[in-house]
Amino acid sequence: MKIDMNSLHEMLLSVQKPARYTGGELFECVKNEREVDVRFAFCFPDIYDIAMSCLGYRILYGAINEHKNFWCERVMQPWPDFEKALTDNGVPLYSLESKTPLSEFDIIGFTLQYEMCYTTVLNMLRLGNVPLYSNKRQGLKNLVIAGGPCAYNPEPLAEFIDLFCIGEGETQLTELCTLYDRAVKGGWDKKRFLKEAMNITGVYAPALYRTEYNDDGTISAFTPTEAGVPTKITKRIEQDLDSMYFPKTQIVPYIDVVHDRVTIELFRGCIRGCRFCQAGMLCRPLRVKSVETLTRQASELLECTGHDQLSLCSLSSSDYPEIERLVDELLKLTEHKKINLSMPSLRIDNFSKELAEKITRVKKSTFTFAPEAGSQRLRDVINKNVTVEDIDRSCKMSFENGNSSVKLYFMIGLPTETNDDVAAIADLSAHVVDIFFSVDKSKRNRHVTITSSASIFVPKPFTPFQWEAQDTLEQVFEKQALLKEKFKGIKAQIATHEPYMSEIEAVLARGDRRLCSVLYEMSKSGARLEAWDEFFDRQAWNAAFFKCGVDKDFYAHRKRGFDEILPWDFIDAGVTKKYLKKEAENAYSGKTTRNCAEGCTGCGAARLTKGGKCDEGICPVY
Amino acid sequence: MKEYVPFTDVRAVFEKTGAAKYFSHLDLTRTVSRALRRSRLDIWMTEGFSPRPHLVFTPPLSLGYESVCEIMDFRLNLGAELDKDAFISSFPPALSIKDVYFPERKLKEIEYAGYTLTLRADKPAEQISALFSAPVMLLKKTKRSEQIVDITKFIKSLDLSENNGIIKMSAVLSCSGSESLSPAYLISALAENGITAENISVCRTAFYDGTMNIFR
Repeated sequence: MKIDMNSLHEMLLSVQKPARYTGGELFECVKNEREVDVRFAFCFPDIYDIAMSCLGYRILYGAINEHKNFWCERVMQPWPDFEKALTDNGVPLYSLESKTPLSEFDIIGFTLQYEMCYTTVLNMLRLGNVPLYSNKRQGLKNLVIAGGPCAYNPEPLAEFIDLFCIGEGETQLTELCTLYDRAVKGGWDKKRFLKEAMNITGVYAPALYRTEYNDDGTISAFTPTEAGVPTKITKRIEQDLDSMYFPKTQIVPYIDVVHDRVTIELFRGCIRGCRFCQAGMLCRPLRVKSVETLTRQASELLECTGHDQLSLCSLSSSDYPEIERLVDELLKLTEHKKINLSMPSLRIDNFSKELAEKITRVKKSTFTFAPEAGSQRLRDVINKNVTVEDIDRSCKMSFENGNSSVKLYFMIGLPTETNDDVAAIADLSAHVVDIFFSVDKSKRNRHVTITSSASIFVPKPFTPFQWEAQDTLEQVFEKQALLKEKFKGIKAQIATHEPYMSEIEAVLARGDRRLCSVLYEMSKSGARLEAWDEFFDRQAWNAAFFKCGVDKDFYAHRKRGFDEILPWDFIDAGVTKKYLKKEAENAYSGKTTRNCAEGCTGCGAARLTKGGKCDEGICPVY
Repeated sequence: MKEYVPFTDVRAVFEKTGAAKYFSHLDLTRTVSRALRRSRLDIWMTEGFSPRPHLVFTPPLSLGYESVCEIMDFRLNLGAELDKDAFISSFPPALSIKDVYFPERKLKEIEYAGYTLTLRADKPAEQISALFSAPVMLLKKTKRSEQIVDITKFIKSLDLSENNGIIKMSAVLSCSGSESLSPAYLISALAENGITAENISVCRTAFYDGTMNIFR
């Protein structure tokens, strides 16, 4: 039964930004429900403003809707004002396109962009009157699936999700919908469907596996419970980015969302190999879109949406092989229409003066650099491969270009970090201030704002630091106090963060199935939207850990041995464990690893491509 | 002698209905700017720090109100062609364009706006009519002041009808730069005088000049 929008009128008028809940935007996809076979609710476990800014969400929405017998609709977590209005009035969570309650959908798919959304996933199922535990959903109706970067360690959500889609979803998701359609028409039971679904590369059904533990709490075995179920799940990748699906339209929100612009994706993967970076490892092998494809896609989307901002998305945009030519081509589209071209993710060491000048032609913006660590020693440990000379050159160039505002991103709590490394963050920030005043007065602005931000390192699966212990709260507080002390008298600000959320993030990132009970407790206590500081409740987490007998230190602050079975070991993410170990050892000895453009480093991810090659060369198979 | 300007003014009349009644005036300006870009017309842009189309609208609608008569003025670069079809097709359904033309009068000449209010009330239509036939004193807020005034001063005309328990109020209210009244005051007047109204919907239906001719 669809929800009548007129019945929501009073509720909508009582909340902030009611247009978050009405749908009806340009290019939303509306189909006739009688003409479709599979109805897919694509759930984003955060509010509209965030969801509509997510490129992956746009791509997969379009990819499913390309098929005329599937209908993908959007469902998001409401802001607490509207959430309360819904529950007070007994209205279930509904889709924006057809206003259909969540529990009426065939497939309910979640994208897991960050760990702190896990409680929101459960909350949305609750708001939609869908049973939380997968074993409580007997039939094929309400099949709950999840994908996205956090699906690479699916275990903390294993008891709630029927299928995880690991890797890239453009083709995988439509294959899954096709199989689902066959299963429903063929009258299959759920178990048969789950088993069959695992023949699709990257699909994992947690109900078909069992985890056993040692007395010390580590995993002793992870095994299939059924014959014919694979022991290893290989992530799915798209082979060719030029021919891969990419939407020709995108929904144009009425309200101001976080990233209100056209975004094009330059490449997947990253040549750099920073040892803390999960995306840099997960997205390998490197695959590049051509300048022609990118220009065409940008042009189509700018024309149909009317956006006045074009953003280039990748893990390190200045590493795009033909970046100068690409920017020239894009400027031909944007400059005369006064469209702003923005380029996040620039590296300090390789963007040129010409490039900087080009991208600030329409509108000037702040420059943000991420040295990540203050000292050269620690930057070598994390393989950031950025030197003080690089920082000097980039900052000088940016100041001479008229910029008076630079943001510097650092992390504290990185492996092997000492107090000297922490103090070096202040030294480097002071150095950037000095660079500003060394620039000729006629060339620079009069005032400068340097803002340094020190976030807290969270070790992530599938990185060379996946075995590391996160700093304890005490260690973090000590380092933050030291930082604040060292920043006194420097013409730069330092922003630090409360470590409580990072600690929970660390627990969830490397958690196992024993965390399901904790998440369930959290959802019972009403937890959701926890990536928002105002809704993060550390007392509730402590209570849930206590009640479930789960020790958070075991997950966050324990150093693992190289031989330990990790909860995500059954997933083949491309990059081999052997490579990650080698990189961890290089980190301890402060040895840097060259980037892929300088020569292959043998990470193993290229195995996943058809020709065994990534776009940077031939990788030996490990 | 007319001053030289590098642009041509264009006026469009549009509806703000359906989903569009739930977004604010600020969202409207952004949505219209995008629609103008999509239309590929040669729009005159402001020459400031962040270039954008020059847009002037009739007074903002409150959130939740619909309209079938909103007006916006924008500018084309001098000599640019006005492709009406391209313009009309670039707007989303909730903001459908009813007319587009070169204006001869300024928006300042608008004096009144007509509204239709439909609602269910616990008192008959006659009682509501009677209420507004005498002075109705309410606290009226403007940007500059707050004072208790007789709101009927700003009511040019008010007609009521009732059909199957649904009351329809057709009101023409002041809507000029110096004097204006939101239909929200009519609703608060009901509440202040012990009349409970439910299922209220408001729609702006027309703009008028000082002689009560439809403004164009």
